[in-house]
Amino acid sequence: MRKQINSIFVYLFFIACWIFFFYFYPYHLHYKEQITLCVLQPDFLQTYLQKPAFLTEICGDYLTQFFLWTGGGSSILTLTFVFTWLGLRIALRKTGITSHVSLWALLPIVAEWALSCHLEYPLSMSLGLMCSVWAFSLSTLSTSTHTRGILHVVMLTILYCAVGAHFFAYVILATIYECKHFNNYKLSFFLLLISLLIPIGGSYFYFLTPRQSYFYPLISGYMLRQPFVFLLTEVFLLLSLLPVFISRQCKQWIALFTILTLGTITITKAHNASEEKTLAFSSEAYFGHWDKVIRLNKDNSYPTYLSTYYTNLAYARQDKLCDELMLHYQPAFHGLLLQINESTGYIYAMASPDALMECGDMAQAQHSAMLAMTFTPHQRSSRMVRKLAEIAIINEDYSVAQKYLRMLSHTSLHRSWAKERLELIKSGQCDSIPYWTHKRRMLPQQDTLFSANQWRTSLVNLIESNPQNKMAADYLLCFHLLNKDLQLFKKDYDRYYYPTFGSLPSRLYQEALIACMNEKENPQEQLKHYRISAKVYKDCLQYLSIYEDAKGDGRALEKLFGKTYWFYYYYAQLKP
Amino acid sequence: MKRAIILFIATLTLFSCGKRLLQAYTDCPEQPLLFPDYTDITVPCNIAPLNFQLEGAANLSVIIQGKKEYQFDSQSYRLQFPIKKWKKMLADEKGDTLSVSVYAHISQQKIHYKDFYWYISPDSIDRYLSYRLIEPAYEIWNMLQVCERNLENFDTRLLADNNITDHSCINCHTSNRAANPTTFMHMRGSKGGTIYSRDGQLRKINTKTDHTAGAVYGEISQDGRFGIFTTAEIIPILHSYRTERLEVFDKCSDLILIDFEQGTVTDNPGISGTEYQETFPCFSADNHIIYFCRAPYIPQPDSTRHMRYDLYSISFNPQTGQLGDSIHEVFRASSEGKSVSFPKCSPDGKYLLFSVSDYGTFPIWHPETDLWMLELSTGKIDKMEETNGRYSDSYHSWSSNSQWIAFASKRDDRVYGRPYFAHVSQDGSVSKAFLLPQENPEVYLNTFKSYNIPELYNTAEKYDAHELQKAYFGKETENLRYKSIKK
Repeated sequence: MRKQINSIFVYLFFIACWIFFFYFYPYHLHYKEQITLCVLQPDFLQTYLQKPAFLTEICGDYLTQFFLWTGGGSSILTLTFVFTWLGLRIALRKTGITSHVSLWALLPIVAEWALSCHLEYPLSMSLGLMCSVWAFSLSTLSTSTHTRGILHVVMLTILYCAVGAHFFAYVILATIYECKHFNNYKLSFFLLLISLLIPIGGSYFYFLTPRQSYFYPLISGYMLRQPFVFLLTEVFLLLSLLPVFISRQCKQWIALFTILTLGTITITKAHNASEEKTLAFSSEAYFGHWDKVIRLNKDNSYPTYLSTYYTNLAYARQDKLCDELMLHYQPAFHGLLLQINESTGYIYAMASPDALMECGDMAQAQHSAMLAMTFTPHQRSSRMVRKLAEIAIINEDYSVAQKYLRMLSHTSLHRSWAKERLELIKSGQCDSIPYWTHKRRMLPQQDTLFSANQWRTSLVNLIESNPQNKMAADYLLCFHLLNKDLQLFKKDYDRYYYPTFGSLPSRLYQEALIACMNEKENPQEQLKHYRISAKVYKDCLQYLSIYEDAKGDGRALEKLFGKTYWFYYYYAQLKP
Repeated sequence: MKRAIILFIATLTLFSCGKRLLQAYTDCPEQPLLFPDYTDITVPCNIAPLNFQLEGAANLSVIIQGKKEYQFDSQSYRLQFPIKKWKKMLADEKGDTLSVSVYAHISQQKIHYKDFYWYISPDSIDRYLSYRLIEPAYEIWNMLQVCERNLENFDTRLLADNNITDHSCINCHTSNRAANPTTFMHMRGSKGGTIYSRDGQLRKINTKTDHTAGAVYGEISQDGRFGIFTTAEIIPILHSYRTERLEVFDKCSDLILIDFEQGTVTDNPGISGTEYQETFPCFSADNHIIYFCRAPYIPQPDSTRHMRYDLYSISFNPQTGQLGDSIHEVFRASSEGKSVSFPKCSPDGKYLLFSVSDYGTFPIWHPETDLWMLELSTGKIDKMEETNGRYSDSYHSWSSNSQWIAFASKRDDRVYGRPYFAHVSQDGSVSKAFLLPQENPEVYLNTFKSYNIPELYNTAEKYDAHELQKAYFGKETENLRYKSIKK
């Protein structure tokens, strides 16, 4: 009966794991694929040998490609955990645990589950644990102490090169095994000592800092500030080995209680719902599901710069940017165009080219895409390579486009996408793709020099080259409005918007135009000139009346005018 | 029966190990589209095997005809020459022209391409090439490395890796190419400095003084004592137009002379001041002249497109470190609507090689950038049409025997720089350039790194990335003092 409970619990555990990653955390897994690139070419794979964990890095990056599939990531992670658990079960038995091994073997898996919630915890780490555990199980086949001693040392060295940081799991298992069964404390101490020394040697050989050498393939300096968190798995492994020494703990309820408590705490702590939501926006936009982006925003309880950015972009693609701008959260211009610099994380940098491309600013889009790729943990990103290839095609820069496409054509999941485009280039049929020809029409005809993030210069240049570029014009005007710069709004409206699109201004622009009307000139003439509707004018008068009655108390206005530009202009606070 | 089996296996082995029989191949009137393009080139007698690939080929055979005939077969689209056989071939055929026939099996067709030649020049190239590997990601970097490659084989080692030096920027590794070379490399970052290597001794120097800014581009004199450098405030900006990318301009720039023995920095009204911007200095072969680029100051970026640098010189006394009083115009590029960058004098003193672009001071992102060569005795300019590629060719250096040049070229895809070599014959003509050979040429196609600032030299650098790391973190930075000129 107890065995059955254990089995049921284990089954439920892995089903829960799959469900968690499939339903509650899919976008983190999709994004892991986007910050990875696995080109199946010998010279590319050879570069993995330049750092520790070459084997798990290659396998991890290869398998991470399939995170692009719906359910691919959750299935691969769950399977990895299952195989690790199977290995752990054998390993724990070898160390001397006799009862409820299936349960105790789940503890390190709990840690891996929690750690895998982090965007920068790669699959190669989980594979590393799996390899270490199985390697230990194999090493115990040797009965001679002398042979085993040599085997452990060799295994540790190989494991460090092949799996990286999680070779510590092997050290823990081997040390306890030697102590428990053979009272071989000298060997155990020796193993502990060399496990500390091997990474130091590795740091010299692999040109890593000593700190990096202990936790590779985890990369520090990005979002994961404390890469030593991987030791959580080793700590949980130690916990799972406690029954070796304290037989009282070999009770089922203790095992279950420990797993459930630690599991709940660690997974709750590691689960980042806000980031998942942000990545959802980014990924759905990447997949071209713009309707879903809008739907995601409807029930978004974690509005961020990025969620606003993609919502604005989704509406802009439907030519509804101005209509919808005030209807959802706007963190000044930060939700319109993303500023990129050396301290910007790669999530923002990777999103940044999207709006720029839609407006037609391929120069800045390319700049952002290149920088985004540079910022990713391994300076490789399938998403950015696709973006760069597309930008190059639009720019008719075919030789570099072919370079990117050629690389993608040697990946497993971007192959057909890349080959399709390579064929188009080779057959000279790029002009037959409406999206590319449309984008080419938006390209600036004149060269301007400007600093990165100088949005006005860039957008004005696009509009001057192509006055029909409504998206650029809307972005320019909304940029001014969100920055509450009515002077520049009026100037650019008169110059770039009014002559081409001024016949039917959106309500947002009408509200803004009223707000910046010249008091010295005849209001009726101005209303007529800008085609401001009587309704908007009437609303404005009502707004002013309530404003005066309430003596500027915004709460009185919020119900009726909370979604107007007037309210934003007077009450929204621009924070640096 | 047993004997028959052994005989059969032996026969099979014998046949499978033998040369491929090249029969029934259809002649193609065109040369093969190899990557890298190694057709009709002059190669040094000590170069590593020119491994290449032919896209789409199922297998390849190459017959090289010189004094002897050599056959190399490959079972894939890539041909990797056995290094021993290759070296022997070069040694035997030194000074001769080899005819290369490529036979390929492509899409069920057996094709014999039109032959091309390799001239094996008896002039050897310097053994080492240093270069920086960096993403062409404009003004921001993450990981970068400086490598030293042995050109006679494929051995490569790291001279610097910013992963172990706080991710700080590392600038060009430059050698004076003397028999006992002196080299320098700027390392930025909080613990950085100019790493000056002479006689196996590493020094970390802060080139900034109270009166002058830190050193940027420059060169070291033959005896290693003096260095001439640019000091500049460098500003990156973007182009909006399609394939134009980055523009980098100097907000202000001057030249400084560093005496590494005395630990002093000097300048001179001829090479500093606000009226003109001076940059990219280099020594003449005998060190008696310093060449540099100069343009009248105009406000930038508004007028960047009008910023054109001409080539000037100033005399220099390598014994005393005294700079001359007046400067001389060497080449007025601006009159041709061009701007000069990176002049480099050949070690034999005959030529000055420089980059020429339409404007500005950062030619690597200018696709129109070409290398031009000035014959110093006649003032004749060679536009090196056979050598230059379709996109930017810049960041060049000379080999110690003045017979080879190395440079970074973006000819292949406009974005990623790769190291190319060309031969300079006795009469000054420069050959078609060829790409640095790699064990697997696909390395170039599957990397996001640019090969930046290739520098030739004959003696291996004395330090490696670990020693550099020690110098970065452990070595005390030497400060230089400003020495004003006494008239």
